[in-house]
Amino acid sequence: MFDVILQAGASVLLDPLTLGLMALGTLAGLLAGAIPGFTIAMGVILTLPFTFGMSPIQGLATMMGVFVGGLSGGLMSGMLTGIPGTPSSVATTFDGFPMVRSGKPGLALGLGLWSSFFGGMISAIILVALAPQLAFLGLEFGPWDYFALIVFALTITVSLSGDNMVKGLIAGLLGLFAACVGEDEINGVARFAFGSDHIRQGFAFLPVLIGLFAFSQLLSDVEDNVKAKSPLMAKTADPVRVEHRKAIALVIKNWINLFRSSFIGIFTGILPAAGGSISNILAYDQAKKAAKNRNEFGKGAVDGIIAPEAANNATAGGALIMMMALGIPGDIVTAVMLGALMIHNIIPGPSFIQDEPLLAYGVFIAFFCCTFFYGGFASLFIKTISLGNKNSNVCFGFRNPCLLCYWCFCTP
Amino acid sequence: MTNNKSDIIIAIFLLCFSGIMINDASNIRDLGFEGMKADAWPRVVLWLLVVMSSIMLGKSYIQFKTEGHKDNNTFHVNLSKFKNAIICFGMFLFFLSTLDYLGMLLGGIAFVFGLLTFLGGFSLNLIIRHFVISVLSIGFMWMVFTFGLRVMLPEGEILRVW
Amino acid sequence: MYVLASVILAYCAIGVFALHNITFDIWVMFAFGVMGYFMRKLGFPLAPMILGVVLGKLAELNLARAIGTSDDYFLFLTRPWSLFFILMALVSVLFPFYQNASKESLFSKLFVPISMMVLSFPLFLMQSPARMIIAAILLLAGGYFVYKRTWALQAT
Repeated sequence: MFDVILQAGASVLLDPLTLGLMALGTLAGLLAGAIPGFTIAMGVILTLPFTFGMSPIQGLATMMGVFVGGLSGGLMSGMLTGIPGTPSSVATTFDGFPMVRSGKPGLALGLGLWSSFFGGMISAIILVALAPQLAFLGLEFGPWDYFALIVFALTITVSLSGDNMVKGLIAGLLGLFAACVGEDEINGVARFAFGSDHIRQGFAFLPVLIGLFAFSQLLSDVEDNVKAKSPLMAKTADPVRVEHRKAIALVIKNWINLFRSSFIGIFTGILPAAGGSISNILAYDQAKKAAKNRNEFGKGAVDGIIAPEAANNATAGGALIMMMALGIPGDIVTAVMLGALMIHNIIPGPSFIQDEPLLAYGVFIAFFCCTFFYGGFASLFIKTISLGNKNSNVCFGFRNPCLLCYWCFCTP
Repeated sequence: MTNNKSDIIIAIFLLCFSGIMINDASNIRDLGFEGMKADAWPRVVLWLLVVMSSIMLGKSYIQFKTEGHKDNNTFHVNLSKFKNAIICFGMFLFFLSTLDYLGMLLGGIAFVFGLLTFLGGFSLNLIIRHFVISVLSIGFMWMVFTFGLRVMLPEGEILRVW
Repeated sequence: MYVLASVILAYCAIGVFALHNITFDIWVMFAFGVMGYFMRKLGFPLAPMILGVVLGKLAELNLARAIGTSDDYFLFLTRPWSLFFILMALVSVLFPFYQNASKESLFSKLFVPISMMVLSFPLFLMQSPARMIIAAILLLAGGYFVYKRTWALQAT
């Protein structure tokens, strides 16, 4: 097995194009996460068309970068402005924003950054250790078991997302029906085609996904003129200096919290439909219950920043375990990755890790790599974002491409 | 917007929709092979949809009766809330219909320009800025896709080259 | 904000076309976009629909294979993994009721232990010692909690 890992690692790490794409993806994910209203799912969906021309491993590595970057990109806007960029950073704002307000922005941002990094690392290690074992488990599945697993995935999605179960079930059934339109998988009989050849081919996965998610999200963002004309991020006062060493020391000192939150994140990622948005709140709750200084939570406690940030990065590993080992998407982002694999004619299933070990281990190594990239880019990004915020009316950073896009889109 | 009136209307609409589809399911041919027929699974899904829609209809009707007739003016207010979205949909529909004539490049520029102007405002300064943004963004994307990824985007009849 | 939204809308159209080079795909995206927008407005969650579209063909394929392999419909309930997932599905259907139930009612006290005991049953059916041990642990822990909570109820 080790030679496979080495081979996969070489194909990912030694190829400069792949490295460059991963770096670009992580940067794009950070930007997507930092903008409130722009969810990680949308970021991953929007990178999908770019990956058509790439090889499968490059495409997946880019999407991993966007995923990892987006999970923690929300912490920046959450801490600096109080509005979380993505739902997976909601709990980070509970303690991050007060800490920034109390005059310690560098420490807060550093804590968020490094706890995300360590959470991602722990999750990646467990992913590599656990996924092949789970894949062996999946080989025992017959079609009965697989069907029951899909029924379970749908029902737990319904019960976890939204408070109206009947409406959730109706939505799930509508989705199942939309998948029925077209030709039958087994016999090739035309179903619900109403005489049109186009409908007879069925609805491709990507247009449905982009339409349901991105289209509707963007239209609800511009639905009234007030929301439409609002700037993307509010302005902050001063540039911040991230205090790395102090943050790392604090994170390592609270290692029990770190491990517990990472495990909560991994477990939530494994459950279908539960993703970063649930895991960070769960981890925050558990950290609060287990902490000795309970009343400091909400005013800038160190534990209150470590827990949610570690959990939301660990969710990526858990979601990947389900997708790689069993072929069942854990949340929307892994559903998009599944779609990307299907576009490249690779069908993930229980035998995915056996059949395509290079690709599977390549994805795991990409996850590791992107976490490292994230650590590097986030500190750079925080500096530029805060500087950009201060001078957003001046043609400041033309030498810095992120600032250019930022200026172009944000000055209205 | 989850008041009971809209729930009742949606439930009735879903019942009609699944009724039409169940009716159409009888057009699915039976090839006579062994195993599950091609219309079995869609019928299962559609009947489950009928059951769920009836449950929703029943629940919202009971809630509607017990809460009494509150606001009768919700219909009129709803349409004006959707104004922005409906106009965006209309513009996209127009873009799609003229795609064959204008081609992706010109059609895209026209669509983005129209959308930006509608959402942003009509002053001269803003119009120039919107025009620049739409040309730059669509041009950049078009170039990435045509030259970078070698994807052929639809041609128009006006400018035959692209 | 509206600048970003407009440009991304056009980018979605281009990107979707790049998949299969068919204009019909953009129409599909538009239709589902309208549907998704109204679903958001009317309070329907979107995630189950996405999962339904992704898993729909897989579900039907597996169902057809299962029925084609053997006519015994009871296999859905007697195979250990299938039984396990069906029971988990039932537990997850009851989970919102558990969340909304008051803390004092019998249902919310007994829900977790009884579901643990019920879920240990399929694990006993599997043929490996590790899973038997896990099943035994689940059964004993569940039984202990049921005993403790009902005994406390009877004592007061």
